Amino acid sequence: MKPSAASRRQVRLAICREGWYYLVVLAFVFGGAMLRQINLLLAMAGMMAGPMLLSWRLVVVLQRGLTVHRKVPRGIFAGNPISIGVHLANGRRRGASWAVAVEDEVVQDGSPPMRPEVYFGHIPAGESRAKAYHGCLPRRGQYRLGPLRLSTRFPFGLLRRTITVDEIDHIYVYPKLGKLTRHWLHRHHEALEGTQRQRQQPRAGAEGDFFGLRQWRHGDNRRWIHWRSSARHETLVVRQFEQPRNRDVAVLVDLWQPAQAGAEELATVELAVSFAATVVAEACRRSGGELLLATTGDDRQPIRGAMSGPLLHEAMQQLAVARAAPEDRLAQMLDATLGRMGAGTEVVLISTRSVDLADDGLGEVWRDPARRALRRRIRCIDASSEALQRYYHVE
Amino acid sequence: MNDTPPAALAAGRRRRQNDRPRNTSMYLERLLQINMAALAALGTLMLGLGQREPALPVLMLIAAVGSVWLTDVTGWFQLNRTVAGLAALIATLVSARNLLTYEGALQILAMANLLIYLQVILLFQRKDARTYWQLAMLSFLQVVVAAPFSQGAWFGFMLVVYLFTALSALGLLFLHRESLRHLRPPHEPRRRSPSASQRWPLTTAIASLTGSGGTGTAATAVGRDLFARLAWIGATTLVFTAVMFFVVPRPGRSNWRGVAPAPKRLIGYSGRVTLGELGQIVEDPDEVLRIHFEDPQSGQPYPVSGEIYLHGTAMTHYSGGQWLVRGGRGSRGMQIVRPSAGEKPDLLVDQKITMEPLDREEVFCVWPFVPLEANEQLIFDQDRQRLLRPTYLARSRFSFSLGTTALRNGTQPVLAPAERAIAPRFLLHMPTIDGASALPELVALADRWAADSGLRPNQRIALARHFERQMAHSGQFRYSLDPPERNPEVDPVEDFIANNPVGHCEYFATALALMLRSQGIPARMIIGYKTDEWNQMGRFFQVRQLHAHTWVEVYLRPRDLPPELIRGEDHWDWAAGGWLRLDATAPATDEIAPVATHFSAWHRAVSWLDTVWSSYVVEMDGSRQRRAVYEPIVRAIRETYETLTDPQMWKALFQHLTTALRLRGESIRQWFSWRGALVAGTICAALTLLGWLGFRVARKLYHARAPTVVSRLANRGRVEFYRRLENLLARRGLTRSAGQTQREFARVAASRLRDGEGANPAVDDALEEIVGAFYRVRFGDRPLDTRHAQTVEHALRTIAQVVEAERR
Repeated sequence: MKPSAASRRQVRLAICREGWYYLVVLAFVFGGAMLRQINLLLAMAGMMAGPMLLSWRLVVVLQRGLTVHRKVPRGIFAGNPISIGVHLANGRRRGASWAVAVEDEVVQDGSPPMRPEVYFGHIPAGESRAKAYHGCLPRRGQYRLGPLRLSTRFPFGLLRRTITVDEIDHIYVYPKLGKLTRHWLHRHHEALEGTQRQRQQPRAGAEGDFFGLRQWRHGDNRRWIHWRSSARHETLVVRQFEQPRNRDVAVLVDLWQPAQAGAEELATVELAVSFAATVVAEACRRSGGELLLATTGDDRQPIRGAMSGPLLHEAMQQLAVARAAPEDRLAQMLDATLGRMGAGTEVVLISTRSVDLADDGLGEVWRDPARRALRRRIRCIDASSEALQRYYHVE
Repeated sequence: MNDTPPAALAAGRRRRQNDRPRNTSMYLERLLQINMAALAALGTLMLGLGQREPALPVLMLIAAVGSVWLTDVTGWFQLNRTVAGLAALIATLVSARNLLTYEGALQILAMANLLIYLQVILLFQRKDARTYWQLAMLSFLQVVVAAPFSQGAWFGFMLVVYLFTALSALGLLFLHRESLRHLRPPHEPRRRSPSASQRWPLTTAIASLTGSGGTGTAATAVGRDLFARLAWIGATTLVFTAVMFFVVPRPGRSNWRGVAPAPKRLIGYSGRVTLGELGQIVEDPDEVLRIHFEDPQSGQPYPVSGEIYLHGTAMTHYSGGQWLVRGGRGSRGMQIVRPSAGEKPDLLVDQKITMEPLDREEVFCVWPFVPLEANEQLIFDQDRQRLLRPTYLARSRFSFSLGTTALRNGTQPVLAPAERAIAPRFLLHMPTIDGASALPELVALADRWAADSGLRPNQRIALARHFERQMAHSGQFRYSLDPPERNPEVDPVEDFIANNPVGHCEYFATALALMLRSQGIPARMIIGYKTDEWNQMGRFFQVRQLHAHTWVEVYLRPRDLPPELIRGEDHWDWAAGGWLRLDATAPATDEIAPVATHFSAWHRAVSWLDTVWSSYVVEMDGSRQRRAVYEPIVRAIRETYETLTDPQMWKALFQHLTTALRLRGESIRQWFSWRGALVAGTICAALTLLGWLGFRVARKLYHARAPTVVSRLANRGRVEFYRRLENLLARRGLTRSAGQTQREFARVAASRLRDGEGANPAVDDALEEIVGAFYRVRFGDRPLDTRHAQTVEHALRTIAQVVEAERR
């Protein structure tokens, strides 16, 4: 980003506090010289006025040819340390610049802006310097970075000239990730197995490659029983086959909060979003299958795609900006997403309240038999209840 | 073999790396400390020299060096705040007592001393940015206080040194403060006080972002190029100061002189001469006055060679070893010097005199003087035949101008006309004791010399000249500044004639005057100055204390005047007679002969510099500014204009050039003229300046025209306007994702803006216009013409208005 005429939004020249003191003393000396008719005081007034005028000239000259770049990460997780690089280059062929401060503005809607400042003591002609500002952003969301303000008070701190560079970047602060408990993982595994069975039943003839043995469970095909091993273990043992373990996951996040939300309700929302983000991240980490993510609270479209890094970022961005609302949009969300799910999709409905899918308000949603079949497979997680701790914890 | 384990080496390396920023910032602070100490010492030096008080500068110098070593470098001695505050209180009380005791300028000096005490206290404290500021401010105030008192050229030199030191100190202080301001501790997450909900761990966390850059960068900023930049600032400031100083008009009609230093006591000169009272005379080279001569018609310097005599007071009555003034017709009082109504003499020379502050009111000049203009500050004492100035003006530098007719062909002749007829009786008075001559030996010697000369008594001039030669060159009398002990029983001049023929000029002049009187020739003794110290650089005569002198003037009636003196072009009015100057002092012997040293040239240069400084800086008042600055500038501009608009000049210049081209082998002197070269150079410089200014103005205008800029940017950056659109929309929170085309993004943005603003077809049209232009430029490779650029600029303004309205 170059503070050229096109990208400069504002150039401001101001007299610093020291400058005002300096001017008062200058006026005192000049006034004394004229009133008392003392030539040497007049000469001293000239010697004082010179640096003031040259300061005005220098703050203009020394900001010429400066180019500033900001290096912003694609996204960070809430609460994690953040480092944003600032690269300042002096494009002039002659004349170094001194004491240039680059102030950035980081703001999230509804919050007071933060103004981190990076100081460059010396930038020789034709060279560049890189610095960074650091910190922590605990609130998820989209933050606006910019505009950048290049300011210098060189050489004496009497005048400050600030160039506001209208260069805007955005950074997403993703929800904080927690840890899924063994209980969640076990249930997830069970669900996966169920899905496997469901997938395998219609095509029982295609077992795939032999993988190993396990105890017989209800619903297993009798043809998979390994009789010799069953005899040896005195229990039914079935063969396992290497099957594609891909499965589709749908994470539906119902962010409801009362109109006058208190600290508890706000914490519940954050927990729900964080849990959803953790589930999504875990799903994308394993890859395979498709992910569908939908949230209530705003008019964003559900995200759907093959589990991958890019999709994870997209999902995290959506979760970063997801907002809770007092309106009940659960039915709307289910209506928009259920039709797009495959038969074997694992559906996780994370809500900030206790949800009863058989509620009359959702009657319209289940009118379709295919959807009614899915209803049994929807796992509802109430983030406001203590039961969430069984699946997930965050530090 | 090195037994140091690798882990220890690594730890040491890490430690050194951690220490580096601290050390580098200490380097900057050390430089600052030294600079501040130098600044404090310089300020006190300037103040101390202004007061002619060397103790304070020496004290401050010791304090400055000591504080750097004891307080800043080693930290062995540091005043804590309580002790420093107590010391400052004591210093203030002491200064307050002095303030109440003294009066006038001494009160200011008491305040100045307080500044020095406070500086010493600050120097021995542990310093922070505030302390440095206070030190700088106190030092500056010292110089401000010193300025009205310090009038010499050395102050100007010191001021320049002070300027560069102060700029360096302020620059370093600024960098030090900036580095401290940005020196922040490593980031640590901050937390709010525990709130009601503990379920969400980030509830208590506070967003924080901290900058960096204070460490390590401070010292890298201090280098040769920094000091070069500061030196450039200093040099430019000097130029600016000079311009401002000479251009700022001096209001008021009074002289700009500031506060005068303490007046000098005149040595060797006194209004009442008592022989034998002075004893040994110490030769003092201190300056008394400067005089330069001008031709009043042309304003050019009037060349004068030889010695000049500056008249002070005329002594007429001698009695008991003491000269007194006793007029012949009673007291005639004082009168202000005014020009006479008649025509001014043709051979008038303007004498411009600047006198240093002295403890006496007498004014010295070459007699006879002719007032050129009324000067109420000059008073003529007719009884003692002397010029005076008011007492209050004696204590400051005093300048005045008078004409004189005493200079002829560049020398001061020995004969000058008397302004009025003198009754010679009171100039013939001889001291007596009980009716008999009090100076028998003197009279006897005079009689003997008169008899030996063979001259008649009415040959007064010849007789007086003979006596003068006898006194000065007979070898009978010897000049000495340290006369021997006189016999108190006899008159000192009688003792000089009869017993101890050694003495200084007063003895010679007294003896000659009385000897002439004994022969019936009216004579008086004049006290004044005689100098031949010519300053070639300043083109003035320098008069110092050691030039104090006495001589004799003989009154000549008109019939005694030699006819050859008043013949020809001589215009003087000799109707009242004339005064013949006689200098009977024997030549100086080796013991007091001025010795030319290697420093003579240096002294002359310093003296000239002092004159220039005094004339054009310290005493630059309205009239001098008009003469020395405004009028020459106006004249130069007018002459340049006339020269440039003179067709003859151009014609001559063209002819010179053509001739020069033809006469390749001939002497360059035939066609080259400095005037022509100056004019040509001025023209070239003016054209270059005009061209440069025109370029700058054109560039400014070019940048100021928005559509042109858009067009230029569109052609150069191609999609610059689209980038501006994205920046505008980013303020609304709309950013284009990687997979979105520009047109898709525009549709999304239009719908979002529509949501906030309601139906606004202008927004849709504006977006469509910009996106369409983008595709044309980016993919169609068709740069925008001016009309399209204006349309795009208008569309961008529309979008900006909508976005700003929503933000509000």
